[in-house]
This record gives sequence, structure tokens and C-alpha cells, in this order.
Amino acid sequence: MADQMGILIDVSKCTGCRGCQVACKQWNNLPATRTAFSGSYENPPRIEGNTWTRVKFVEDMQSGGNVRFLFRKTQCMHCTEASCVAVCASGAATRLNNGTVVIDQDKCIGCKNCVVACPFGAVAFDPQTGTSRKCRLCYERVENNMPPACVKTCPPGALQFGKREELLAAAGERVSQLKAAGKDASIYGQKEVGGTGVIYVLDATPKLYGLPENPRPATAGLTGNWLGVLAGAGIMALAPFKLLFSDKETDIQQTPGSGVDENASN
Amino acid sequence: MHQINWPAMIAVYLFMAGVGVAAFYTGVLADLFSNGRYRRLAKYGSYLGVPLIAIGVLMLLLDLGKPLSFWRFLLNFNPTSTMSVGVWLLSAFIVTGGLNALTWLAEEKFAGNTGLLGIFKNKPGLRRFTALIGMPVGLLTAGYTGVLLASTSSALWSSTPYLGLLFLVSATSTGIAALMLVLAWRREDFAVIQKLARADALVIVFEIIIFALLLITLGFRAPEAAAVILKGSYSAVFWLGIVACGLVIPLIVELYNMFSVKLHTGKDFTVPVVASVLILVGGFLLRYVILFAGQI
Repeated sequence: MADQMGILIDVSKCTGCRGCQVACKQWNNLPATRTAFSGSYENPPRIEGNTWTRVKFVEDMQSGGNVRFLFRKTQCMHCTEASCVAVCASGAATRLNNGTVVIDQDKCIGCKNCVVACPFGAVAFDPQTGTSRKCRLCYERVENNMPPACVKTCPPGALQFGKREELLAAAGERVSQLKAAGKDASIYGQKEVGGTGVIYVLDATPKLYGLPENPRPATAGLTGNWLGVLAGAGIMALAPFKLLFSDKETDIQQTPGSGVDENASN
Repeated sequence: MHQINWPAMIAVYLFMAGVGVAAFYTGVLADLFSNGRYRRLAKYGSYLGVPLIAIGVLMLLLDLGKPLSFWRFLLNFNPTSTMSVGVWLLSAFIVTGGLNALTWLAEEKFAGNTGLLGIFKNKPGLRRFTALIGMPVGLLTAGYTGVLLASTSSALWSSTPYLGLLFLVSATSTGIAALMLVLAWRREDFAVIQKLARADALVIVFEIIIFALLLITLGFRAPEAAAVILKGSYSAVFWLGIVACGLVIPLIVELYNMFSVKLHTGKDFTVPVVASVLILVGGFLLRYVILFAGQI
């Protein structure tokens, strides 16, 4: 297997400039979207079919009444146990050798199953193309030894592209620095859903940053649900159907000209 | 998830698919266990099955971003994708249920002996074979509609292992209701309707237990999701539409019907018709509420 590639996002260095959003739109030829004020400076308020990355703004009320702004770049996490790949019925969502998860736009027919399956809300349906779309880690740039557009553009150097193992090592170092500075720092993405290609260095809890604390692959409950269906099918075949319809009551024969008598109904 | 990705059309699809397959397997099971005494149910169930499924699948296709590329589903099989499993279950059901319906149609008075339908005349073997395949496929399809929602990241759908079971049992109740309506419309033997009503009462009791189990589990594992249904914006539809209209009232009506001697001798179709309509409305609302409450 090829080296697993990924992005390290150090939220402690993010200034919320949204340069990554613009770079993503430009490189991927994605149109601007008209948005309305949603009560926060974050814009647009969610990942969309033509907005594959955005900076999430969190307003954290401090004890002194001050508000602290927290910024987190969001996009596809490129999960090892990718829910979109697991639920895709047309074979469009796949995981490349280097760990990048892509949705083949020619194969996607827009059933939106991956959109509702993604634990990170990172896939969205684009009505313009009729397909589900998301970050694809600029694989054509990566193939040509260039970092993804967002990483290339990030002014404060909050984004780093590279081999996942090296990123994890760098993340570990940064977390100990932040911890030494008294922050509630942690790595996110090391083990979550099998390990994600996109790794965060967080300086507050995942929950505060709007990340699921225990993300599960969408297919985690599959076996339990199918077992329930099988048990239910068995029980119902026995309880109402076998019980009621195989009894020897003469309910039909009581009324002449009905039931099995094919000629009598008219 | 803060956006409606799967709209009301998907609720219609989940509902139609459930009623269709359930009417089919109800008929087949009744016929099977009674050694042919309820053959008519198998016929009506067969007539309901594929057309209802077709309407449902049409909804599913219309909701696709690229409806005309739907065939891509048929070039692929992904066992971890409930959608993919469902596509193949539906396809298998449409083939077996369709052939089964043809064997019945061929024996109708208008069919005659020649033409395409003539091929399917007097084919008890084919009928039996397609019924025996279509019945388990139908049961799995009914469950699949719930499992489909369960294999997502929505807390309401994925936090319990009971959604597939609930949809299966609810579909069975709506399928039986659809058969009762057909029998009432055709003015068929009242005793058969009574029999179905009894079966349905049992299924509803089963459904109430599973629904309670699901909500209790949800209350522990995802209390916010449970609150959306029980106390939030969907609570009115839940309590009035699903619980009262779709479960409790039909159950009371069916129980009353069962134990009332007077009604047994009379041929008043109103009571089973009212119960059936309520069950169908409740069954649709169940899917509608769960679909939308899961996307809040």
C-alpha cells in the first residue's frame, strides 16, 4: 500500500481568514454561493455541494464574559472506515491507495446516501451537477507533487500536507507544546473511524470544536438491524400467520360461495 | 445534518414499498399455511405488490440527482451498502412478484387463451416457485426500508438496532390493511376480513412493543433525538397521527370487532375499512416523521 497521505490542521494557528475556502473554490472551479447572515461570521453556514471546505467559527463564552473565537477548517476527513464508501450503491465513492476518499462524478447518480451517512457532514449534494460532492484532497495536484490548494494558500501555516505518519508525529509534538502552555490540547483523527487522513491538533475539546466525540461508521448498526429484521420476519410468520391461518376453523366454508370458490364471487 | 437531504418523496417510497411487499407476503403466507383456503389473498396480494413497488421505486428514481443514470445501481453490488442490497432485493421482488402476478392475471376471465398472458396460464409450479422466492425477498425488502435509514449518521435512525424491525412490522400491518381494503371493495367474504383483522391486531401489538422498545433505547442513547419525536416539533403528529390514529384506534376497533358477536354476523364493512384507512395513514406518518425528525 502506498504511503497514506493527509493534512494536519493546527487549529491553534488558524486565524479564520478563509483563504482555504477561496483557494479550494478557485482550484476546483466551484462557483460562489449567495448566502445570508446566519448569526455568525462563519460563512457559508455548512458544507455544500460546491463548498468543499469552510472555516467553522465557534464563539466560546469565557468565564469573565469575554468571547473567544475558535476556528476550525472543516472538510472531508478521508476516513479509513469511510461511511460514504461503505454505503455507496453505485460504486462511485472509493478510497484510493494513498487513503484519499473520492466520489467519481461520472458514477455518482445523486442518491444522497453518502450525504446522510457521513459522520462529519462533509459530503453534500450539488443540484447543479446532480451528484454528491466533497473534498478529494486535490489528488491531481498531489500526483504532481504539489500540496492541496488549501494547504498551499494557508497564510498562518496552520495546514500541513504530507505522509500521515509524519503528520501524526508533528501533531504529537505540537500537542505537547500546547499542553505545556496550559491548553486542553489533543490530537483528533488518530484513531477515530479507523484513523482519518485529515488530522487535527485541537486546543480545546472536540465537542467545543463541533467534532463528534465518538464518530461511528454509518454501517456500525447494520448487523444488529438485519438480525432484528430476520427475528421479526420469523416471529411474524409464526405468530399471526401460521397461528391464525393454519387453524382448522371452518370460517370460510360457513359462507358459501367465497374463499377458494373461484366461480362464486361474481 | 441540518438539511433535508431525503425529502417527502422518500417517505412515500418507503411507505409504498412496505405496503406492496407486505400485501404480497401476507397473501402468500396465508395461502401457504392454510393449504389453499385463502388463495384469494395470495392473488390480491400479488396484484398489489408490484404496482405499489413500482410507484415507490418511481419516487426513489425521481429523487435521484441523475434519474436516467439509475442503471448504474444495477452494475454494482456493495454488501455493506443497504441501498445496494435494497436495489437488488427490489429487483428480485419485481421479477418474482411480477411473474407471480402474471400467473394470476392469465387466469382472469378477460385473459383468454392466446397472447402473451396465455403463456402464464395454468402454471401452478411457476406460481408456487415465485411465491416462495418473493415471500422472503418481500420480508427482507420491508425490513430494508428501515435498515436503510439506520445505516447513516443520523442519531435518531442509527442509535438503536430496532428501526429495520419496526419498519418490517409496520409494513406488515399496512400490507394487511391494504388487503382488507381490497376485500371490502370487492365485497368478499367477511370472515376473511375478520381473519385479517385478527392477524393485524397481533401485528399492531407487536409493533407497539417494538416502538416502545425503540424509543426507550433511543431515550438512553440519544435523548435529544428521542425528544424531537416525543416532545419536539413532531410530537403532535407522533402522538395523534402515529400512536392514536395508526396504532391504538385500529387496535381497539379490531379487538372490538373480534369480540362483538353482533358484528360477526352482520356484514358491515365500515369498521374494517375505517381501521384499514387509519392504519395506512398511520403507517405513512410513521415513515414521514421518522424521516424528517432524523434530519433535524
